Amino acid sequence: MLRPVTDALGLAAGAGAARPASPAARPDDPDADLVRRIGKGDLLAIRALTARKLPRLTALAARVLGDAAEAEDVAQESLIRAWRQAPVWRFGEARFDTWLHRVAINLCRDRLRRRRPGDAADLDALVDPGPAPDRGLEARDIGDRVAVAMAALPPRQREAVVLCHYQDLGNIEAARVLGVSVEALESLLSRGRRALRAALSDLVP
Amino acid sequence: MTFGRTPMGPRRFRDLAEAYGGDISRWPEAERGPAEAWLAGNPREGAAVLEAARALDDLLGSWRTADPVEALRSRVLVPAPDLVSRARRRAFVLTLGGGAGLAAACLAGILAAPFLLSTPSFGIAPSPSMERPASASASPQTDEVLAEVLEDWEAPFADAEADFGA
Repeated sequence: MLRPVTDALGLAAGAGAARPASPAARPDDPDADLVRRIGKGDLLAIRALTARKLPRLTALAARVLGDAAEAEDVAQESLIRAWRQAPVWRFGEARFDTWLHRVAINLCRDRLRRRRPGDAADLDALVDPGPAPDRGLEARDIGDRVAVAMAALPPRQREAVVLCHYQDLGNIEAARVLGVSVEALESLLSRGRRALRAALSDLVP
Repeated sequence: MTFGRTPMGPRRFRDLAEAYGGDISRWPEAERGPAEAWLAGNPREGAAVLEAARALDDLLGSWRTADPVEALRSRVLVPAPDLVSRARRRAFVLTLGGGAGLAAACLAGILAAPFLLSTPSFGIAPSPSMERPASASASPQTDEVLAEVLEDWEAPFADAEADFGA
């Protein structure tokens, strides 16, 4: 029987009451219900997780790699791994989103490692071509400048800024994704933002 | 920087803004309360720090990436049911089903060994251990799933934990 989309997303008011959460499920993992249902073969849950994660993973990889086509490949591969992992996911050990970010970051690192020194990212393809109603040509130009400045950061600093600023991960989750301490993450962020401020100094008041 | 043990003051406030930006709600959870309290006591200095950090935040926010195209959604969704189904079979084999299937395969091999060894052979006889089990319960599907397990099983975090140097 088809369930409403709100239910598929785990947003229905009564969803929790109708389907008690597993005692082992991590209570603060917003993806736990979807992952559990995907593990049982629920196609609506597969669609819902795709809708929730594909834009996030594509944006993450695009900003880390500086290449839109490669970012799509990374997002696709990350979700393929998610489909394989959902039925055997061990609830309570990590957030699913954190694991998914780690997979994506690892795939990005593999690709960056394989790049030859002369390979240049197509940064133009990364910027949303817009213009949206509230964005003019100037915003697009600034976006281009930011993309170039981000691409010039050392990879670990770029990853830290992407995770915390663009992916909106908290410091603990971002540190887990990068496999570093919270202190190291904060250092990467500070250095990254300082470098960005210097590179964009003509635009920062 | 000693972070968690650093008392909130102008220096720590600036360090946090420099790392996490000008929105206190995005700072480490344990430090938000002390930061808000310090800001309340030092509104002018605190506001200047936050304003400078927010200027960079706004600039970074102007870089937007395009949404995924429909073709990518299809590439992700089309193989999903089959991949989930295979993963569920793998999970079954590795738990209850795996033990039963493997036991059946071993039993079939033991039962078949005398027959295979007594069969007249010409040239090199196949080793019993290389024979496919004859038992119906040790089906080709079980073999395939076991092969899949060995081929592409990945434990949670196994791939992600590798190669995570700082």
